[in-house]
Amino acid sequence: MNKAIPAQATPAQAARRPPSRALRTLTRWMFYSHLWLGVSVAFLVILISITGVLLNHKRGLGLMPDAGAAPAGAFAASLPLPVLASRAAGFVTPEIAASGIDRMDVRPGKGLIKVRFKDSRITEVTLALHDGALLGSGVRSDSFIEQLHSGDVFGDSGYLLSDLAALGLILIAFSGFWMWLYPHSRVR
Amino acid sequence: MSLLVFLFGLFAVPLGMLLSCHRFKRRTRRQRRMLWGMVAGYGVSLLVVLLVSLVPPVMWMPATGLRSFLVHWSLALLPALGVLIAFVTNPRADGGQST
Repeated sequence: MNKAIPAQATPAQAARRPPSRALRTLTRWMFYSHLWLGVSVAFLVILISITGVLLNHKRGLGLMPDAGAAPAGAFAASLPLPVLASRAAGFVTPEIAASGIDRMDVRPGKGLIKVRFKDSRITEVTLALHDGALLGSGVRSDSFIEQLHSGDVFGDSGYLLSDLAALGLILIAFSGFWMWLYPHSRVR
Repeated sequence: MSLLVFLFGLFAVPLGMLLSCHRFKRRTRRQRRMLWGMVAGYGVSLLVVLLVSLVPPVMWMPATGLRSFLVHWSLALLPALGVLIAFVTNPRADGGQST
C-alpha cells in the first residue's frame, strides 16, 4: 500500500513520489525512440565516425599524395588553365586522362595547381603554376572517404542519409538524457 | 536497384530484427535460433560493408562489380543467409517447442 505524501513534501519525499502517468508515458516514448533510432542509424553513425577519423588523419595515413616543395613563381606568370590541364594529362596513363578532369585546385600562395581526374582511383597531379613542372602525382584516397562521409557516394541525394544519421543522433542523445533524468520511471 | 537494396538493408532489416525480437522468450526454440542467425548475419554484414567500402578507398565503379555488390547487397543478404542457416541446421528435432 502506498503511503500518502503530504502536500508540503520534503525533497526526499518528493523523490520517492511515484511518477505520474504523463511522465511514464513520455519516458516510455523516449525509451522506444532511443531503442528504434539507435538500431536504425547505428550503421550510418559508425560509418560516419570511422570515415571522420580517417579524414582527420589523412596525411598521417598516406591517404593523399604529398605535393612536395613548390618552386618560387609569380602568380601573374602562371600558364593558362588549358595548358596546365594538357600538361597534367601527359603525366598520367591514357585511361586516366580519358576519364576527364574532375577539378583544378589552384593555390596561388604556394605557386601550384592540383589537377584531379575522374578515374575510379581519383588520381591527382600537382604542377607548378608558372612552368607546368610536375611536383607530385598520386591517388587521392581521402576524396572517396570524404564522399562516403558526406553521403555523396550514394548518389545526388545521398547527403540526406548523413542528415538522417545526424538527426537520429541528436534524438538519441536527447532521449538518452531524458532517461538519465528519470531512470526509475517504469517503461514496460 | 542496388541503392534501394542498400537502403532496405540499412533501415528495414534492423527494424525487422527489432520487431521480430519482440517477446523473444515466447518464441519457439527454432524461431529464436533464426532470430540469432539474423542478428549474427547482420553483424557480419556490417563488418563486411565497412571493410569492403573502405579498403581500398576507391570509388565504386562498374569495373569494381564485386565490391559494389558486397556493399549494396550484404546488409540484406547476409541476415537472410543467417536465418536460412539457423533454419536448416537445427540440432534438436524438438518440433520447435517453446522452453
